[in-house]
Amino acid sequence: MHTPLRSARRPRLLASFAATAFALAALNAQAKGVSDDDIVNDATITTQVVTHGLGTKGQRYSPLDQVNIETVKNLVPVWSFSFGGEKQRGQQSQPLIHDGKMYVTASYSRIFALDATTGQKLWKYEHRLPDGIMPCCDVINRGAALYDDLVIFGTLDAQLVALNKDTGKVVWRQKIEDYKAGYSFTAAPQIVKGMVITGNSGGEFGIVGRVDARDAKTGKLIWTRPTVEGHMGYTYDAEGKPVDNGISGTTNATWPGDLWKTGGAAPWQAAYYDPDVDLIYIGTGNPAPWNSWLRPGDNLYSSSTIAIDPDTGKIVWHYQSTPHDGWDFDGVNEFISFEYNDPATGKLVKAGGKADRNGFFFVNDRTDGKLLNAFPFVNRIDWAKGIDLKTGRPIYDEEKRPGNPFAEGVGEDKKGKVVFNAPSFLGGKNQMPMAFSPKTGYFYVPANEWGMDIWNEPISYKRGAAYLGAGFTIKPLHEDFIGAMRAVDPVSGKIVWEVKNNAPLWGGVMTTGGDLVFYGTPEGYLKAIDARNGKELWQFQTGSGVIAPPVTWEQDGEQYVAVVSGWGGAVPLWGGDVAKRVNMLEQGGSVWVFKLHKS
Amino acid sequence: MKRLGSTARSWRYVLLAFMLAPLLLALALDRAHARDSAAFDYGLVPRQIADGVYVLEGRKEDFSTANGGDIANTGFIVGTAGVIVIDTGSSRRYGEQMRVAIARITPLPVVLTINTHHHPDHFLGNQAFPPDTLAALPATIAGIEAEGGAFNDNLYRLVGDWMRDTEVVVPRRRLAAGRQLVAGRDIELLALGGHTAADLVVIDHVSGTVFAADLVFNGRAPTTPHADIPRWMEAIAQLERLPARRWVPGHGAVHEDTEPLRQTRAYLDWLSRTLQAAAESGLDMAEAMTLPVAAEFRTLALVEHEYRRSVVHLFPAAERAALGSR
Amino acid sequence: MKPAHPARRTVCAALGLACAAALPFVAAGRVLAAAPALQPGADPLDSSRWDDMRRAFFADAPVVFDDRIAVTAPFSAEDPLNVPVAIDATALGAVREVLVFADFNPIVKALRVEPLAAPAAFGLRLKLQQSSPVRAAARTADGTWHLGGAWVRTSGGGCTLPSLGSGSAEWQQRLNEVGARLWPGVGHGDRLRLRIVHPMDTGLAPGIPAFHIETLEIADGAGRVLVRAEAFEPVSENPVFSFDLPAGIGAAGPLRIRGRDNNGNLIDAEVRP
Repeated sequence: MHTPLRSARRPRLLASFAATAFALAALNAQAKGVSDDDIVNDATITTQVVTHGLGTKGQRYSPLDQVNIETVKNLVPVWSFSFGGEKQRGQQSQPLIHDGKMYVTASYSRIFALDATTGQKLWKYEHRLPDGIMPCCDVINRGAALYDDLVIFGTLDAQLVALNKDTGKVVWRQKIEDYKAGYSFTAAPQIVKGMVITGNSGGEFGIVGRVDARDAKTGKLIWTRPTVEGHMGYTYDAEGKPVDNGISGTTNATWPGDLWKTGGAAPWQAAYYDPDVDLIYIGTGNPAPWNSWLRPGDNLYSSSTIAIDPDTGKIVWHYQSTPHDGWDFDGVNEFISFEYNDPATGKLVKAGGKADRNGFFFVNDRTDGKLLNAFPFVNRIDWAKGIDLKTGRPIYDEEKRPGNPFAEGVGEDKKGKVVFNAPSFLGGKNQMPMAFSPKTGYFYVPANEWGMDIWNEPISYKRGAAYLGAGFTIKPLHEDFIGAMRAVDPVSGKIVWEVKNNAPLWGGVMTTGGDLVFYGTPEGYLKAIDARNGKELWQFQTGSGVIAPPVTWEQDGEQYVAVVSGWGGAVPLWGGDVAKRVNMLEQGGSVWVFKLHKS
Repeated sequence: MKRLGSTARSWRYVLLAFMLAPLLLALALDRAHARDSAAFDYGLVPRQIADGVYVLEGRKEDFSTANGGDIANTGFIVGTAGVIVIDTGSSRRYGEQMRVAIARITPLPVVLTINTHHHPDHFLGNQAFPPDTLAALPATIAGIEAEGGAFNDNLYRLVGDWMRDTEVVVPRRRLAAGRQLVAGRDIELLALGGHTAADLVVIDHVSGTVFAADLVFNGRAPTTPHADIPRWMEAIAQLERLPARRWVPGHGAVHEDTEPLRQTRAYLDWLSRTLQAAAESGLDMAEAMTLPVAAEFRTLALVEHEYRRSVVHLFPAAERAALGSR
Repeated sequence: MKPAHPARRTVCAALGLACAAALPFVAAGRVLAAAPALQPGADPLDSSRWDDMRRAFFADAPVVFDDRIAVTAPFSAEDPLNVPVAIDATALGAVREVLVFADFNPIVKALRVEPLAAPAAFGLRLKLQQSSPVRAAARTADGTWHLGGAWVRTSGGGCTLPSLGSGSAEWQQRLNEVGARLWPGVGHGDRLRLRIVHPMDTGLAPGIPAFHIETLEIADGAGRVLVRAEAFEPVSENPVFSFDLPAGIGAAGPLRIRGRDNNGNLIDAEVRP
């Protein structure tokens, strides 16, 4: 069974074939570099995956259709590779594919280069981690970036390491921030105009969120942009000296006192980039501490999508999905560029879509941030009655904000009133990236249905210590499922179909020109679903929970699919009652590669 | 007096800590309240108790956001060539305000800063003092190294923003017992123990003042988390033989005679006998906690509270003895 | 506290903190659930977890909050790894079984006791992960569950810290060693107290599998089983239990304590009066 490849969608196909064949032959110095063109065209060059998101817009759509609704039943494993050692947990990496090689990161700040057709190990790099690292949500890593002859990834002790992609030798290494103050790094870097764009992690430790742009070849800083209002942004001169580039926002406009100095808002996921409008999009995390009574105001730029001009390092627009967050509703989820025709005017709209932690799906004009549409993508939302499309602000249910622990009548342990809220702080959707199919016009959203009891408590900032001022217990909303893979129509706001899953979904999604939706489950399955109607077509048990997004590419005329397997992440650590539903799952650490069975 | 906190130092435990976030983050302070209440001013006023000898008396309370951890006595002795500091209080702010208070009395430099033992109300002000003057007994240094971080975490939870920027500074100078001239002052150090593994007593011979550290409590129930009761009582007996003119207890008022020593010893004696008797008569630990405090100790500050804490510290050993279990 | 056990220091860790709020020891009168018997559903401890607890343990059976079941526990846990709890359900008359559980523990159930031929009064120590109601539920012959309980404040950590035993080789050499003694005329008859050497690992500390005593039986000299108990992970390391037994129980010869842990290691000891 073999569906001929339609090369019209793949302008660079022939050249890529040649390069692939060549690369297979040798590991020598003549290996092909990754160019700016390769990066901005990654969504359509099907022989490679050189960006996080299968293209810098992050659509996670591949036009490949050799594996399709008819042929997917013949999908079989080609090889599997174990990350080895005793570090078998929390694998959230999206592999990169280039020149016949796979670059895949693993938990505990490890990266491997493998032969993409055989799984043979070419090299590995293991970062020596200090004892005091403070990842909030497991020792995970979400992937690397490729540029020129470099593969670049971030480490749990908040450093960036660039390695020669052919030898695995360190070329440069830069510190993002001080891990002792609670900073860490888990996201995949993104390459934009020759710069490596990174955020940071540590919102649970009262760090200050920031986006950095570095020269990808040297690691030298070009600009930094804090994501907490009141902090100065900088550009860097030839000697590397910082030059003031304007404060983010207006000091104390949306933060009281000096709380902004420890304000969190960590942009802890990958940045995305639309070359068309020339803006970087990145989401920001929760304001610190969780206890919102300590920080009256909107607390910019927490829980927002922000658009940054890559040339100036300045914020062009922002949209705050949860102003004055009190539920740990990070706004970090990916803002995916897409187009649609306005049903009223028929005009093409340059939009972006985001399925937020807070349970609402937001559609914004990606040129100026204007809110175009907002609707729930989960069954139950307590904290807000809706989003006012005129003002762009949530209509809060004030009864659903955890009670004030400083109010009169609070007990001797100063615990404020416990309230039940859905979604839980782990979100209607969390870090696992969704996908958008230009073919169907749907977003494929890995949603979860759960709620939480949450309460507030007093808290003081201590450098490097957890800074929440809140307690919680997560609870499932339904007996038979938590996860739900949903096809969402961003224009109508309708859920078109859903596939329920017993455990919470925590891996990402990919959709293809073969009308398939691929995603993994904590139960260990990689699944293929009909993108049009949600029909389950294929699944494979990978041996441990899947909490990572799949990728696909073609090589020597064959379409490959890969996913990393290895249970862990935030759910077993934070999950409350939910942890009971997943405590039978075993950890692991491997990558699986599939293609169609030929006979 | 001390409070332990989580010593979970490795990242592994940090992960766990997150799992348990609700509790770890549970306590801590009412930020707004602390700010309004005090502007973090301990109001430290040294009281001269002898020529060149000063005491800063803490409150007979438990740690709270209201007192900022000012619950232990600290002191200093002004010699001809410098100042000897005895304990540095519970926070960086305390240490800094103590230095200001000292500077109002003498321009002389601090030449020796002693931590009498490794409980947090006695050493967390170390940051404010010259690092090379910080000194303690070797077991105290080891205790601060091992548990200081946990104590510090814990005090952030208990007294909140009073602790801002407080970090553990481990003394490097190792003290030993002996008599010598310090800053021109005739000072003797006694290396005792029982309240903790190492309790340092400082004697100022000229004035006849004994800084007895937490081996002596006055009008406040003794605390026992690291206590070795027989050793502690032996240490008190040794102190009673000193020809002292006045006693500075670790907690409670300065006293001219040995009454606080007698009181502390009597309480420890009652405590250990009560718990042994409870174990020997078949009581469960929960029942032992409900036993009444003897009438003569009921006036001690915090005695009900400290008794119940002490049951947890001391009853298990008495119980193992009663059950014939090693 | 012996300096030779650094792990103990870690453990004590949490202990000091919660005691900050020094309130009168609510248990002094033995009856903590001071409220009179209430209607089903109105939890006198006002725990947000109560509905989950009721579903998990009692399903559709009748439940009453009843001050005839006394739960004595400290208001705050000085050591969250060793929270002493004493339960007395004798005022209810014949009791078929008693469940002890803590709403906010990651493993909720701690102990199940069937007082087959003994008063329904016993004591134990448990690990608490965070501030939580500690409850005892006694089922009487009519199928009704009678609930008592008390809030215990703690800074937590009890269930996910490694046991001390796991850090040394000693637990293996002395595993299931029993120290026990019978006190005539203490409690509601004669009082048996026993201490068993066992790590009681919860399985929640990284790299250490669940390893805990599962069953315990106390029989009189004639072989009649007086009390049967099922223990779960939250029971403290090297558990110490108190069981009230009928007066004069030692007359028929030595008591026999038998049990096993979840690895099949046996417990077997005699207690001579």
